[in-house]
Amino acid sequence: MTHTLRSPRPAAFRLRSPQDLAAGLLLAAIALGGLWLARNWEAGSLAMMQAGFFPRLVCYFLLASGLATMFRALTADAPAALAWAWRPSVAITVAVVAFAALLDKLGLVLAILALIGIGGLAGRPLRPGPFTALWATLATACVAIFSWGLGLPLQIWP
Amino acid sequence: MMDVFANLWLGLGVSVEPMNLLYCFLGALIGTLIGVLPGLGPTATVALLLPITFYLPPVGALIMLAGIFYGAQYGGSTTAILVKLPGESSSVMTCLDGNAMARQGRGGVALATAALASLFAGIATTLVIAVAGPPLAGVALAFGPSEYVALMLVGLIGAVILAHGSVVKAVAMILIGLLLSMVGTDVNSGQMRFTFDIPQLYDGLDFVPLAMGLFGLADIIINLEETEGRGIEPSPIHRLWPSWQDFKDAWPAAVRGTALGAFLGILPGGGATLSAFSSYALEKKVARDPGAFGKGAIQGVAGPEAANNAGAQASFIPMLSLGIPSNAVMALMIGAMMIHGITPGPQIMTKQPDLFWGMIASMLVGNIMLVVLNLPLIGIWVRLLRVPYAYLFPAILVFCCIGTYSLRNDVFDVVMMAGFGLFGYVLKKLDCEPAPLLLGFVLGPLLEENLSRAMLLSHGDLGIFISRPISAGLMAVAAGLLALILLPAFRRQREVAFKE
Repeated sequence: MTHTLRSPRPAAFRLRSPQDLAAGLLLAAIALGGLWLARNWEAGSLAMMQAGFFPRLVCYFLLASGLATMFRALTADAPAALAWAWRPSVAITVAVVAFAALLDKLGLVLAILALIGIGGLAGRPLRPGPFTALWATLATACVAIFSWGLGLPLQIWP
Repeated sequence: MMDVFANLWLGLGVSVEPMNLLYCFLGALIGTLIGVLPGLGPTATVALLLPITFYLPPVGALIMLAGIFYGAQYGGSTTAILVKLPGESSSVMTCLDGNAMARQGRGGVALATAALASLFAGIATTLVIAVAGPPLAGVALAFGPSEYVALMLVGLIGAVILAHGSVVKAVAMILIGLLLSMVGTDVNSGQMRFTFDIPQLYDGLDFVPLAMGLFGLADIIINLEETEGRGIEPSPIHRLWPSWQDFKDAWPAAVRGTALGAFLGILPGGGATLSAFSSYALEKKVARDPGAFGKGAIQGVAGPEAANNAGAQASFIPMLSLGIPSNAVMALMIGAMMIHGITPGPQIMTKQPDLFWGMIASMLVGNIMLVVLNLPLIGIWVRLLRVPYAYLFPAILVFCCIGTYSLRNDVFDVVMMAGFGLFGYVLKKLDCEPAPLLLGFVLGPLLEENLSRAMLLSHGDLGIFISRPISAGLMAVAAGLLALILLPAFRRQREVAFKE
């Protein structure tokens, strides 16, 4: 997880930390994207800063740190492989987006069903009995707290 | 000096009237119960409950609102410790070590430490306000734009210290936070920045979807990944209350945090947040074993908790004595006062001493009440940690989604949260830490505004930062911190410290 400092003996330029390379590329990409989006905003001068000044300043610094991180990828060791957990990351994201998509159309109770149904796939899904109990408990608690208690304008049923 | 005690005595007399005591208790109770819900931080809680107080007499209304505010603040820390969800920016630091302690079965100790550190900070800051409140308000006025820029640089550079691993990546995270804070309409020119023509982004991003995504959702994904879907096992609870050793470790941190918070809280903008972050960085700096931070160091809970409570309370000073709201909650409080026909400002102390001192004394009463209320609850909260993860994480998901939705009743925020959750997971994979990003996000607008104002005043002369004494002092601190971080010897130590 942590990097060890480069050993003193000269090493050829080889990639020692794919993690740092990826991080550097991501940072540089964000910086370049920011600069591109800010291309038409007036920067003004130091004495009269306009809307484009601060974004550009930050993006240049970000670009520099991206490049520095890429350079580090050649000098410091880190785990070789970048594992990506597809199942939990996709399931959680899809579950939350599904909740957002369904809430206004089908109401809170069914949106919660979709959220915990899809979200449950991120881990080991519960058996039908406990799952229904969890759904009923969460739906009741949410309706009681947010709709009745706090008076939020929530659609509960389709 | 006698005056102060006479005044405080007058205030105490007001605040222990049975009805006011009841309002204070109800405020603290409701505030805690709502503040515990993820996504509902103090600002949201106070805004939601503001209408209730319209029916109360002015003093009672303000005492109850103050109670709601402390309650929500403490409730937010509870969620941060138990399930690692920061409901507001000042409890981000509590998440790190508080949640680590909870996972080691020391959740009760963490909660009790947070409560006691907050109590200490609350009482100490109340006395500071009573003795030196009005003169201290002058400090806020002595801070011009260049001083703010310098102060924020100190805060942001300090945030680099609190991150593990690569310095460059921590700096990059701060920069991304600054970039995210620019989303929305530029206040000076009306220029839309990074809005992609999405109307919901015209007002900028909200802290809650960002923090919930980066911490809450990303954390669930990481937990499930690391345990291959089984989820974290609840660890057996070793003890519920802090031991003598815990107490000895925690109190110096609480004292330092209180001092930081009482000072930084006076300054408008990000006071409580900046003080919590600075306190964490300071504790890590002075600790004998900085490697323990992030893995359940009790100082990492006591310091920031004391700092954010002291900061939150000190933010009443400019509000009451100058009528300057230093954050969104204070702006709501001023709104409430206006509704009751009270105009905050220098004359409030002389014209309505019972209100001014009653409110200050109620801070004292409110803090004590909060601890009395919460210590028995710790046993119940800790039992929440025993819930198997297969049940707990869907529940966290549900509360995150509804909490975020409730901000503006817009599902767009929920989708943003999902996006930030994925982004948080990417950051974790790339060994980048989200905490500095959040600080950059919170301080971004202030930094930009004050930088442009300072440059406008000095006609573009950067020398203004060293020609004014306060800002020169702060710049020296910032330079010192930077040198400390960049010195190779220090760096090697950091690498060693984080190796195990």
